[in-house]
Amino acid sequence: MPDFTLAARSPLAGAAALAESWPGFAVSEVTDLALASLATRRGRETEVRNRAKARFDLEPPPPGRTASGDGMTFLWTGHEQWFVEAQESALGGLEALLRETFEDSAAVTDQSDAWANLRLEGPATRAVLEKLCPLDLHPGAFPPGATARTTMEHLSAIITLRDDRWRFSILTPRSSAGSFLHHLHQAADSACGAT
Amino acid sequence: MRIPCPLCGERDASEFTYLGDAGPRRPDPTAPDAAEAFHDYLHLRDNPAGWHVELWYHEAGCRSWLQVSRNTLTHELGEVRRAEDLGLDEPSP
Repeated sequence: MPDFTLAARSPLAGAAALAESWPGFAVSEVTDLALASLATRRGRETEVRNRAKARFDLEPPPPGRTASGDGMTFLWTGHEQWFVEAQESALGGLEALLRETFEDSAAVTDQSDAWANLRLEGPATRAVLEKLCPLDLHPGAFPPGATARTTMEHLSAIITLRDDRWRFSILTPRSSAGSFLHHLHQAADSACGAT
Repeated sequence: MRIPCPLCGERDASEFTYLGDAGPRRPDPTAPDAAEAFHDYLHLRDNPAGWHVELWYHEAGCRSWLQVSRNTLTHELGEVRRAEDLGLDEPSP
């Protein structure tokens, strides 16, 4: 029996009660999703597609897109690479499931605790993101299901549009998540008026 | 300057890092004239005023190495292709 026990803490748990809102904009931390990276080994591209289709009935999405099915979402992150998101409780171990599914055709790495997952929503979300994000987020240029890795205030971020209106999510590295949140607050204060 | 990544679309140059001229190939270190070949490889580089074919890394995006044609006078960009598609990722001798 160990002398002490450790409790899991989400990346932004220190930012007390992170469910904050401004007129037309709200940000909250998503803590119940498991995340793993999937990187195809050279020459195994077709096999990875076939295994994903057979096991999850989904096609790993092309550049800049997401694909969902069977309780999980694939986000394209690079050439023949994806992040896979899922409710951990529903699967009993996302990393193990992906390893079992893809065997040695792809490299699987658990990423769950390495990223802060922010949910941004509200009609003013694009106005807030205009101050941070160098990408064009107009629905014509960044439609529902689009995803992109870029930088905001020099910090890495993976931004995804989750619905057909204004619900975005941003994955940002855990180690700089506090700074990212600070910049997001400043942008929100500026775009929506300080709370 | 904005670079049209073949995978990600047009992105700001701040997402990329620059390696240099895409032309020179690392010489074979076991060749008899290796010392001279490495001297040329390291020191005798072109510095054209105009079109230049170079390697860029999309570090803050898809992390692809790209071969980019760029006009050094105007920063106009020509063809951009993934280095892997051009076989540039094969190991040097």
